[in-house]
Formats: sequence, structure tokens, C-alpha cells
Amino acid sequence: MAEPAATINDDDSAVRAETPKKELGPVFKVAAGPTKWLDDRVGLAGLGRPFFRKVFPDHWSFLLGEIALYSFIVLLLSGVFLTIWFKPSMSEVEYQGSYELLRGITMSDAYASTLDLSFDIRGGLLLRQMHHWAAMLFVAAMLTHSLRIFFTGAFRKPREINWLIGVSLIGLGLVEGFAGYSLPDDLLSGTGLRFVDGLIRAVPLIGTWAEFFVFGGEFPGELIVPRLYMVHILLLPALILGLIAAHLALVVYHKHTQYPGPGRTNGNVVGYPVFPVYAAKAGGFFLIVFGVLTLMGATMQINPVWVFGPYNPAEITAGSQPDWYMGFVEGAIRIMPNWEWHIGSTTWSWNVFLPGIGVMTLFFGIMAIYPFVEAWVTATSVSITYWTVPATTRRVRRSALPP
Amino acid sequence: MSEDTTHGRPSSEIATVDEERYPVPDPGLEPHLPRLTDVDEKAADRATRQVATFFGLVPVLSIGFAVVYFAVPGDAYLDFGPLRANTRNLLLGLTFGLALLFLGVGAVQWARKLMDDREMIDYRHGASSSDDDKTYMLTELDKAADEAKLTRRKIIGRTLIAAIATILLPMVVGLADLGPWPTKKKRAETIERTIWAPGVRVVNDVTFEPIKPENVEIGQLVNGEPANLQDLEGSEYQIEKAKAAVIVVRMDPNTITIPPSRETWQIGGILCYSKICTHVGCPISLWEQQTHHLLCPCHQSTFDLGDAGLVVFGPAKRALPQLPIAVDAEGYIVAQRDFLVPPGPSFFERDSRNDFKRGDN
Amino acid sequence: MRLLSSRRRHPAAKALLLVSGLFMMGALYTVIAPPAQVSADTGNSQQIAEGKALFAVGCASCHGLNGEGQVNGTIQGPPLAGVGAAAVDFQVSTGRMPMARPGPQAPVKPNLYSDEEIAALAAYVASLGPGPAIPEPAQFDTANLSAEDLARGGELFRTNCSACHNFEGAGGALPGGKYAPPLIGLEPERLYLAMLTGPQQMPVFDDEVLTPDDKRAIIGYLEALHSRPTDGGFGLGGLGPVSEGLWAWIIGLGSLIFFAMWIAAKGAKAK
Repeated sequence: MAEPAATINDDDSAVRAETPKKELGPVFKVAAGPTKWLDDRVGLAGLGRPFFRKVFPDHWSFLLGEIALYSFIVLLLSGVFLTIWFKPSMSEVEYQGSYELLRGITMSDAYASTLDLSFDIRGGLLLRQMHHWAAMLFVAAMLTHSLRIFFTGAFRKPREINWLIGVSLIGLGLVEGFAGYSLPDDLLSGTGLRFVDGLIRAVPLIGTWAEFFVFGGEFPGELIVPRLYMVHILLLPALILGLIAAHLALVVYHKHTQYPGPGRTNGNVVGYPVFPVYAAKAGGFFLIVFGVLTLMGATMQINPVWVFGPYNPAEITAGSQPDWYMGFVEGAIRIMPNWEWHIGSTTWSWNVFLPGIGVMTLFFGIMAIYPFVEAWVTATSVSITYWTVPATTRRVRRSALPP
Repeated sequence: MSEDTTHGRPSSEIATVDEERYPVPDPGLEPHLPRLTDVDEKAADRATRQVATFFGLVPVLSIGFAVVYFAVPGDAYLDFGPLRANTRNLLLGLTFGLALLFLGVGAVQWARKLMDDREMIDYRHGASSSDDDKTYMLTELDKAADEAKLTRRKIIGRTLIAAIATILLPMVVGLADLGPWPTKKKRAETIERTIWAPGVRVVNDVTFEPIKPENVEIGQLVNGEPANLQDLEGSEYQIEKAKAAVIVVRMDPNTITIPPSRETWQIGGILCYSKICTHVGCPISLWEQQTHHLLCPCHQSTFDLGDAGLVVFGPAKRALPQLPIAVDAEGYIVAQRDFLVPPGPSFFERDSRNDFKRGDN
Repeated sequence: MRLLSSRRRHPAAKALLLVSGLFMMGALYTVIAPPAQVSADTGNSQQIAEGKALFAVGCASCHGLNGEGQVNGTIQGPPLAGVGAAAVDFQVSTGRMPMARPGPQAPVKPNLYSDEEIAALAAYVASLGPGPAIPEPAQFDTANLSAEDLARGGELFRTNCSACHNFEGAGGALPGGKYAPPLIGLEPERLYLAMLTGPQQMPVFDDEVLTPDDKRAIIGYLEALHSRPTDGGFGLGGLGPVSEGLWAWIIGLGSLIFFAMWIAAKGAKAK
């Protein structure tokens, strides 16, 4: 029977905290002083010990969550750049920038500053496009990652909380994306805001109140863009970051799941340590994601707001559509039969409320309760409740088969 | 998380293998096979050179980015086959993107080819805390509750709960000015009315020129606005436009159905309807001249303007409100009055009994 | 020269001189005369008669021998009194008319009529009833439009046209197999004629409401927009966010999954 190269256990001849015998390189010599300074204050070695050589299993499908995480980091970085020039204001200005086809047109400050970013600030268009591609990728990666979690049963006990955190992250990501693309106040996203206004308004009993509170009065008003800006750069990123931190903490605590294979049991994790292998692979992957997004921002045009024109409530384009991840709500609202009750002097718009609020609640609701429903349904027939490997994903590594 | 449970012995809390379900005995970790770069020094050197090349290209590309940033003008365009794009954007992105990519690819190649790839084992622990911890916490919780003297002086606990529940009230009340309150009076001033009034001229959108009936032919569509919209500015202008936008169409009176109650609302086949869809409020300009159908691009609600604006397809329920028009003394088209029903999407308090329904007069 | 002068009293000399004289006059006229204004001169009864003959062959089977139209439940060929010379110019020069077969919409196809024939047809149809005339070239000449004119053209485009033809003029769908065609790469005259005459389902935009200046601004805007490069890179069709999402999945997620598979791959073993 083959032996692993090293086992992290109490027999720590490999991890004795002694000074190693070999000569230290120049980097280590220089870093020694500051490291000791920090260690005297925060206990660096103690903090690092549990994580330094933590083991993570290796499979490409485990990198999908990382794609989501890294695209979120790209969103944060590119977003900060954009906030330096974007003006979240709906006050009217007359455009005098370098895009001639809108010269002299009255538009909101938000739209004008987006045009400035696209044409007059060097690198602005690149960052705008990177930001939007990263948002697309963020949602796509989260959905693909959740599919991996679902089909490998990694949502089962003890990981149900992490699944719920993940479902919340998908929901928050959708809202964050919607808030973000509505900020430039262009014709296409303004039409989307108009739709949301109608959607909020149609909620029975409280619709008008919710509409007036969200828009600060009638649509479009002058408050929705500054409010969405606050939501987009402060409220939701804070919530998302907090949930991501909790999500990662739980993965570290529970240890990563692994595919079945020789030597892999319910009770262990087989893989590579964080330093040096995973630091290099994960760090490298972050740079690869960042690089791919930059290349996409360089070569593929996305959200060309200058062609859409500034938002005008009497203008519209054929083929008006939201960003793809809102498609399920959009489709539901298109195929809904036109049910509306006129009872006395009230109007109950089921044709808007049911597909709008109802479909989203259904989608996230089903995703959220699934682990619990499955546990309830399968409780009597499965003897292992701690962590079961779904039979369908069992496979033995090629290297373990006889030659 | 204490040290003992992070690494350590296999935990006894973890379920053991169910023999029936896993009949194949665990063969243990497969023997480590060395990679080519582990045994072949030349291969290792090659891999090292690859990694170093990737890393070495990064400063070149980074400096390239700076050069492009300052040297390439904003109006330069690259015409290369199917690509006709802004040169500066393209080159900035290519230099920066490739720099990042090469840095990442180099790091990964280093890990894959050169770093030690022997697998390690870590032992899992149960997610729940140890019995020791649980017992400790429960005992101490008891003690703490005793020390708090809560069990004897119950009124402290009860008033505390009431206090915590209600301390949130100021925070909620503080949000009450988020928007004006849509009371009945407020609704009548805002969403239930528009700036159309008796005598207000219908003007062509964008140009704001008034319209004479003889200049509207059969099959013509005019995107219209009220003339008094020009008196407004900024947010007020947008708000009123979102409710008051209209379309004026002319159809052959012999080919359409004009209900008796609306005979006086039109001028020889020229009818004026609200432009705002009654579903969720998108403006509609897609009019089919021959079928008289008006199609909203958002969710495909279709209204028959030759039949009092009734819905013929799609998720909208209510007919498109019609604006009664007439001709003023100078011969221009004017509104007779405001819409009889609030235009635009539905809301709960909307009285929809006056909307035109199929079979109405 | 002696060859000709020695035969100056030849019996055929007079006839030959007359013919060569006529030939030379014709050649001179062709070279010097101004380019033929192939216009539908409605007063020219010769042109109208030619038009009527062409109409009888190519159009009467759907529109009736006198352009009275046939309405049998569905409109086979609408009446043409009042559509004007402009409508004929548009429909025939784009090949839409004569339609090869009935259908929800007449597609563009190669035009088989010469400019003179179209002018004749237009003159005939214009004689059936007053309608919009073919515009003068100055009306759709976009040469001297300022940036503000073009921007105004954009506003007019987005208010009147993008609802059917899309923000970029990439076209749009209508119910029942009909469509608003793409406007990319079309000549100014064609755009002007379409706005003026309202072909098939497209509404009419009369010159009194959407003035010739307004129309010219719209045409100028479209020309300027389509001659612009796509600033951000590949245009991906100009169809909007859903297609952009498709590329995010295919190229973005796709390439990153390939990278992920490379990162986790075991690689070449020594054995």
C-alpha cells in the first residue's frame, strides 16, 4: 500500500517550529525584522499556523467559485476607478464632450459623465467594459458554481448554511447588476427602470407607497440614480463582501469537499497545501481571470450607451431587453395572461405582480429550501447523514486502475 | 478553532464507511508518479525558461501600456478585417490584459511543472463542537444566568425584551420621508392627472411644431406632446412627459370602429392615444399602418387603435386611453380636456371602472 | 481627302451627307447635353402611356388595370390612387414591387426595371391621384450638416424610428412574419422615400410634420453613426444585452473553464 508523502498530524517532525538548518536567502533575511515586529504585536505565526499548509483538493470544477470570487474583486477594483469620474446626478446638462453625435443634447449629468468616461478619459472605456464583462461573468460563474455544488451534493449537512449564503449571493448579484447598469441613465436601462416602476406600482395594497418611496415621488424624478448609486457602491458591496467572507470561512472550517477516489475517505482531504502550490495556482488564476476580463474589455464592445442615447420617457428601442440574468423575470412577464381584477375602485394587477415578484420568490425559494427538503425526503433511507458522496459522481481515478 | 481539531487524528465523530454501499475496499492513495520535470533536468530547465519568459514579458507589456496611454490619440481607429475599433482602447487593454495573463500563466506553470506535487492528507473533524466544549458552555451559561440575577428578577427580562423590540422604531420612522406619501389627494395631483387641459395644442415631439389635420394623411403617425410641456424643465419635464406623451394616427374611418361615445373625440379619422403602455409603462411607437395594431416592444402588448385601443394580445389588460381632440380657431389640433382615466401602468388605488372595455359604448 | 472630294457629285453623296450629319448631331448632343433628368413628369402623356403599358404587364394582376386595387378579405394589392410617384420610385427601385409571391411583407430583391421605366410607372401612378412627389436631391443631401444638426437627427431618430428599427437601425421584428428592415448602408434617397411614403406597415411621415430638414437630419445621423467604428471592439451584432450575455458565457466562462482544466490537470508523467 502506497504511503502519502506527508501527513499533517501530531508527529510533527516535518513541521517542528525550529530554525531550519539551511542558509536563508536574501529575501528572508530582509523580511525577518518586520516579521518579528508584527509577530510581537498580532501573533503572526500563531495566526498563520492552521492555514499555512492547509490542504485543498485539486479539480477544475472546484475553481468555478474562484472565478466568481475573482470577478468580484475585478468589479471592486474597476468600480473604484469608475467612481472617480462618474457623477450620480440626474440634473440636466448640455453635452459638449467629444462624441459629436450627441453634441448640444440635453441629458442627465450621470449620462454625460458616462460619455466622458467612454471618450474623454483615457482608459475609461476599457474600465467601463471590463466592469460590465466582470459583472456578467460574476453572475454566470455563481450559477455554474451552484450547479457544481448541486450536482455533487455539496449542499448537504453540514454545508446547508453555505448553500443559503450562496443563494443570497446570487440574488444580491442580480440586484447589484441591475442597479449598476441603470446608473448611466441611458435609454435602454431607463426603459428597464420604467418597467421596475410599473412592477413596484402593481404590488397590491402597498404598490403606490413603495413606488413613491423608492423613486422619491413620481417616475422618473431626480432621486433614483443617486439612490441606486448608494445601493450599488455601498450597501450591496458591503453585504456581498460580508457574505463572501462568511462563505469562505465556512469552506475553511468544513474543509473543501472532494471527489471520491483511492485513498479519499469521508474523514480526510487529499490535495496540495496552500503554500506554495495553492498560492501559486489560485493567485495565478486570479491574474488569469483579471487578464481575460481585460482582454474582453479591450476587444468586445458591451453596453454602448452612446448609441442608445440619454433616457427619454417618450423614446424606446425595438428589442428592448434587460441584462441576460434578468431574462427569466422578463420572459415570465411576457407570457403571463392578462389577469387583472377591478374590484370597486381598486385594481389588482396579477398580470404584473405574479410573474414579477412571484417568479423571483419561487426561484430563490426553491433553491433555498432544497437541501432541507432533500434531507427530509431521504432521511429514512440513508444511514450516513454527516457527509455522503452521491453515488452518481463516484469515479475512480485513471491512475488507480490497473495498467 | 483550536489547534487540536484542525489537524490531528481522524475524528471519531465521522461516520465510518458503509460496507454495503462501498463494496470496493479503499486501495489507499495511489503511488506518486514523478513528472517529466522531476526526473528530466532538461525538461525542468525548459519549464523554468518558460516561467521566466512569461514573467519577463510582464514589464515589457506594462511599459507598453504607459506608452500607449500617452502616445495614442483618442480618435485613432484601427481598421483590421472585421474589427473597426478605437485603437487606444484596444491597445491599452491588450497590453494590460496580456501582462496580467502572463503573470498568472507563469505562476500556474511554475506550480504545475516545478513545485513539489506530492499530495498531502489532512484529517477532517466533525462540524459540531466537542462534548467537552458543549458541557463547558452549558455549565458556564447556567452560572452566568445565575450571576445576572435574571431568574429571580424576571421583570428585568420582560422589560428588556419590550425595550429592544421598540428601540428600532425611531430607525423605521426616520425613513418616512423617503418620498411623498401617495394619499388620495396626492395621487389626484400626481399619477392620476397629466398636463393636458382644454385647448392645449398637440405638437410634434422634439420639434414642438403644432399640427394641422390636413397635414396628417391616412397611415400617418405623429409622436406628439402637449405644447405646454416646453414650459417645464429638468425633473418636472421628464415626469410630465412620462405621462403625457401621445401618438396621433390617421386611419380611414370606413375601416375602423369608432364607438358612439367617441365620435366627437376624433377629426375625420385622426385619433389621439396615450403613448404609454398600460402594462408597465414603456412608450409605444411601433404602429402597423395597415393592421392598425400598436405593438409595445417591452412585453409585446398589442393595442388595436382602430378599435378604441383595446388589447388584442399580450399581458396588458386595459385599453390604451384615448385623448379627445378637436381643432382650434387657427386650425391646429388641440386636446379637448385631460385623459378621462390615468394613463400608464396600473396601481392598486386606480379606479379602473371607467376604462374602455370590449362591448362598451 | 482627294478620295472624298473626287466623289462629291456621286448620286449617293447627298443621302450619305444627311445621315452622317444626323449621326454627328446625335453624338454631339449626347456629349454636350445635360444628364437626362429621369423624372416622372406627370404632364408628359407619352411617359404616362408608357407607364400604363408597363403597369398592365407587371402590376395589374394584383393592383388592377387602373390601379383600383383588390380587397378580398386580405389586401392582395391595395389601391394606388394617392400613393404618388415617390411610392413607386421606392417600391420598384428596391425591387420590392412587383412582389414575387403574396406574403406578409414584400422583401427587397434585385430590381429589373430601368430608371426610365420606373419614371414612367411613377408618372402613371401619380396620374391616378395626387400623392407625394419624388424628392429633389437637395432634400436628402447630407453634406453640410453640423454636429448639432446630426445630434438633432439622432433625437428625431430615437423618437420616431428606433421603436421599430432599433437604436442602431439594425432592424426589428413585427408580428406575423413582418419586420422593420435594417437601415445600414442604404442610400439617402431610399431612406427619404420610405419616410415620405410609409411603405406597407411603416407609417407615413408627411413632409409637413416631419419636414425635409428633419428627414435630412435623420439620414445624416444614420450615415454618421454607421460610418463610425465600433469604439469598444467587436460590435457583437448590436443586438443588446442578451447577446452580450451569450458572449460572456461562451468566451468569458468558456475560456476560463479551459484555463481551470489546465490548472488542475495532472500533466505529463515521467513514465
